[in-house]
This record gives sequence, C-alpha cells and structure tokens, in this order.
Amino acid sequence: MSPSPESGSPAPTPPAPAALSADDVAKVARLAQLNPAPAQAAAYAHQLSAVLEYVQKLRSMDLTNVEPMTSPLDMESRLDADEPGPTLDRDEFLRAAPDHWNEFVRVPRVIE
Amino acid sequence: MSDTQMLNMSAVEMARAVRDRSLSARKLAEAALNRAETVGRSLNAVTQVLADSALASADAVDFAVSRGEDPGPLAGVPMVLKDNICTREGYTTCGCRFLERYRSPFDATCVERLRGAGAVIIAKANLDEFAMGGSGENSAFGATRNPWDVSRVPGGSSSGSAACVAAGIAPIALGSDTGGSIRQPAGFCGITGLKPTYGRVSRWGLVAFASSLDQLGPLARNAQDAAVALSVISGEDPRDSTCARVAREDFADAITRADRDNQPRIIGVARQGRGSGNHPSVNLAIEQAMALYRDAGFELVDVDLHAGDEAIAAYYIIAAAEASSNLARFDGVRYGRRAELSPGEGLSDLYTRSRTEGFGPEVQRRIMLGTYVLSSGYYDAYYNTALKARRVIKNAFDAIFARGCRAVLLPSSPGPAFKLGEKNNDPLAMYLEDIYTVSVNLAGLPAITIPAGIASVEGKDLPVGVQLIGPALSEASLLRLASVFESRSSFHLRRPPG
Repeated sequence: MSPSPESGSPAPTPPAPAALSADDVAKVARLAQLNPAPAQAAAYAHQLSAVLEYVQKLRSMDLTNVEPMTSPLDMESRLDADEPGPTLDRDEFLRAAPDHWNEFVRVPRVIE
Repeated sequence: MSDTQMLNMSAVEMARAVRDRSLSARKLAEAALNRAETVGRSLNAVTQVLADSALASADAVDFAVSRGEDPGPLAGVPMVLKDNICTREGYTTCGCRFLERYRSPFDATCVERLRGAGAVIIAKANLDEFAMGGSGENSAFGATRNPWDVSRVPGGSSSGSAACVAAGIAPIALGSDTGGSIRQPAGFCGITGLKPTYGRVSRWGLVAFASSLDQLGPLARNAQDAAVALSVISGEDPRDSTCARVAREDFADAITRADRDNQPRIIGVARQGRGSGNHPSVNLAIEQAMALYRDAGFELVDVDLHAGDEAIAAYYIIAAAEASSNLARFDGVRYGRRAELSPGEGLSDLYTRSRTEGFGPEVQRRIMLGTYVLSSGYYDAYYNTALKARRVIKNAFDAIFARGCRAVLLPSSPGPAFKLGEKNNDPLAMYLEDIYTVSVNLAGLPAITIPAGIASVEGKDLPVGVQLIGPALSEASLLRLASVFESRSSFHLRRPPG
C-alpha cells in the first residue's frame, strides 16, 4: 500500500532551532506562567532540547498537500437546545475556591 | 469463602452471586476495602480508600436485592477509579499537589453510570500527575509499585488502576488513555486493558490532559469483565460534545455469542512491532500470538504502519500543545492550591507561584514544550506539521482496514516492566517507551491489551502484553478476539505472588 494518498513533492522542513537556551526557557516559562528555579530551568533547557531534536524526525515524512488533522472525529458543531436546565449549586463551586467573599471568588488587588 | 477467594472471582461472577443473594455486597466491599488498605497501600496504588461511601453503596445494593429489585450488571462489584475522574466522594487529586484537597462538586458521567449499574467504588487510584507519564513515578504522592516485582514500575499513567486489578483488590478499574496509559500498564501488570474509540465513552468529569486524544476505559482481569464495564460506561452524553452519537451496545453479549462472529478472519501483524529493539520476551509473545490466531483459523498478514519514531514525535508535540492549553485553568483562583503571597505581590504572582509550586517537573516540562510549539513563529513548523503527520498515520491504519484486516497486532510496549528509577531522569527515554501505543490515540482507534506472555527477568516472572488495534467502533470485535485468545491460553489466569 502507498504511504498516503496525498504523497507528492517533499514537505517543507521544520526550522533548525532544535535546542533551547536558558533564555528561551525563561521566555517560554513566562508565557506559561511558570517560574522555575535557575538549576531547574537549566535542566529543562537540556531535556526539552533533546525532545525537540527528536521531533525533527517528522522531517522524514512527506507531508505535502496533507490536511492537518485536529481531531479523530469528523466534527460537526453540536448545539444544545436553548432551554434552561439544572445547574450545579453556586455554593458548591465557591467551596472549591481557595478564597471567597459572599458570592465572589476573592483575588489580590488587580488595579492600584 | 475466604476474602481472597471472593476477590479472585470475576466481576461477572461477583454480580451474579450478589444478585442471587449467595454473597452480600457488603461482605465483598469489606474484603475489597481491607485489601485496598493493606496491599493497595503497600503498593502505593491508591490515593484514597473510600470506606464510608463504599459501605453505604454496598448496603444499598443489598437492600435493593432484598426487595427483589435488580441493582444492575455490576451489582456489588468493587471498583477502583483513576484519580483524575471526578467523584463527589473524597478528593480528585490527579496525582498533583495542586489538587491535593480538591473536592469535585459532581460525579463524572462514567461514575454516575457505574453507580447506576450497582458498582461499589472503593478507592481512587494513584497515577502519574495529570496522567502524564509511562511509569507511575510522576505522582506527587509517590511511585506505585508493580505487584509482580515491587522493585519495578507498574507502567503508567493508570499505574494504580492496573496495580489494583492485578493485585486482586478489585476486578475492574477505570483508567484514561491519552497515549497508552491504559494499555501499557495493563501489559506490565498482566491484565486486560481496553482503550475505546475516541468518543465512545463520555469524558465529562475526566480532568482533561489532551482533549483530542484522551479516552476513558476499563482495566480488568479478563475480556468479559472489560466488556461489561464498557457496556455500562459507554454511550452518548449531551454533556460531552465530543461523545460519539452511537447506540449503546451490549459488549458482553457480543463475546458470549462469539459463534455468530462474521467479521473478517484476517489479522495484520505490524512490521514496526517486530524490531530488534524489543525485549526477546516481547518478540516471543508476538510469535506465539500469531501462532495462536493461526491455529484458531485466522490468516496473518504483514502490514506497514508507515510510522514509528514519527508517531512519537507527532504525539509529543500535539499532546504537549493541548496540555499547555488545558492546564492554563489551574491558576490558583477558582479551585486548587493557592500560593501564599508576600506583601506587594499581585494577581500575576499568584498565578505564577501557584502553578510553579503546584505542578511537578514532568507537567511543567510538557506545559513548556506545548507553549513553545504553539508560540508565534513555531506553530506551523511544529504543531501544524505534527497535525499533518497525524493524518498520514491515520490514513495508514485506514488503508490496512480497507484491505480487509480486522485488527492489527502490535506489542503493548517494547519490553516488560522496567525498574523504578531506571528511566525517570531521562524524559526522552521515557517517551520512547510509548512507541507502540501513541499512534492509536492519534488515529482515535480502539485497542485492547491482552496478557500474552511471561518473561523471566532476574529470577522474577514479569507479564508481557500484546495489543490488538481495530477500526473505529470495533470494540465488540476486539473483545471477541481477546476472548478467543483467552480460550486458547492461560496468561490471563496468572496472578502475581502474594
């Protein structure tokens, strides 16, 4: 059988940067709202670089004219009828919150 | 009957005994709870034992039976749930410090359905944090041990679910499978593990890891018990928009009526699963499985999945990308652990500190990998490329099934259970262990792990599993094939020492 019906000319290759520096990790950590300690960040840089190096194997696949596949289901939008139904109790949700005041979840001051 | 004899019964036998009143659900629950407290704790396979609610459920089952009512196909059957499945009882920790004291305000759909079928939930099972891991070592509550050899891992991420079933604590457990997390630990622990078709089982109440890959399924000691559990938990659910709109099936009935099997009798043997990289016991198990099916009248043909290493590469990009998005909700605001702030720190510090303190290293690694591959400039190169590879991988399966193959035979892992600590300092080495399982999730297909061999390693017997992968919604066919295997072998009857 053929590898895929979509086979054609060579696929565009991923770019070269398959290694992360400590600065890259710091930037990604900021985007992800994480703040690893320096030693930990250095370990992450090393480990994630190994993973990024490995994923370059995708270059060996011919992906020309292949449509990206985001889900195994052929998704159609499924909409509920616009009818009110039972919901969970607000107090139960508030009990799960680390801090609340009356019916509000409380967080530190956002605007000075 | 002794506790051990009782707990060695299959779930089907237990339910039958409870329904005909030859065994009380309470007695069964007490035996299971006791074993969870002793053996379950010593293997670190459980995060919590739910004694009070289990005994109340068991009493309700006994009461229903005494009134002549039928509690359902799982009447009085003790069950264990992976601790990323939301339950009103106890905590839903996900093996994470962040959710150590998180109480879900609702039961997952699968939990409602299990209770509705008479099941008695006795414990929540340990797991790799947020189901991210292949060894059970990434839990914030410590590693689970393999009941066959406590110096080895039970596999992951459904580590506690597999260990509990293998150790005779409960005949069935539920797990989740994003890249092999039901099938690989089932193989390491010598039990049956079924990853259903994407969309077969509602995920409402399963804490999300990678939404286009996650699926709930049963781990059991035989195909029949797995079939009963799947019949109960599957089916459409308006609360999960990714749940397939297909009629519920009686999978247990499909096994019993195996003589009416009119499915094709061709099994594909994946070339990619027969490498020199496998432990010899794995290659032997594949050879023996081929011989077994040939003797049972099946034709075996060589098939090519067209991806091995590439599947791992695509999987880790997609899974990490989806995880980084799903786990953004854990910010210390609405639920979970909130970090203590110093004077002058604000909302942004609250997010960052809560997440840094709350997530373990593997979860942080995957969030950062996912954030990186989705970040501006790299999205197309990594994420979009992986999504294209995903379609090629799915097309290869489709072509195999279109050729008339009923299922594809593949190992469930390259070797039997490895030692605790052997791989957990090298994330990439750990990821490569998933080589035989991830493509199934990428394609959204059902697959079942069957106990298919015993390896003798350093003087210990270790189970070896093989997988059968089928086309979408072919669970009944896979369960029948597993049942054929059981009728011609005895590996599913082997139990770990103790």
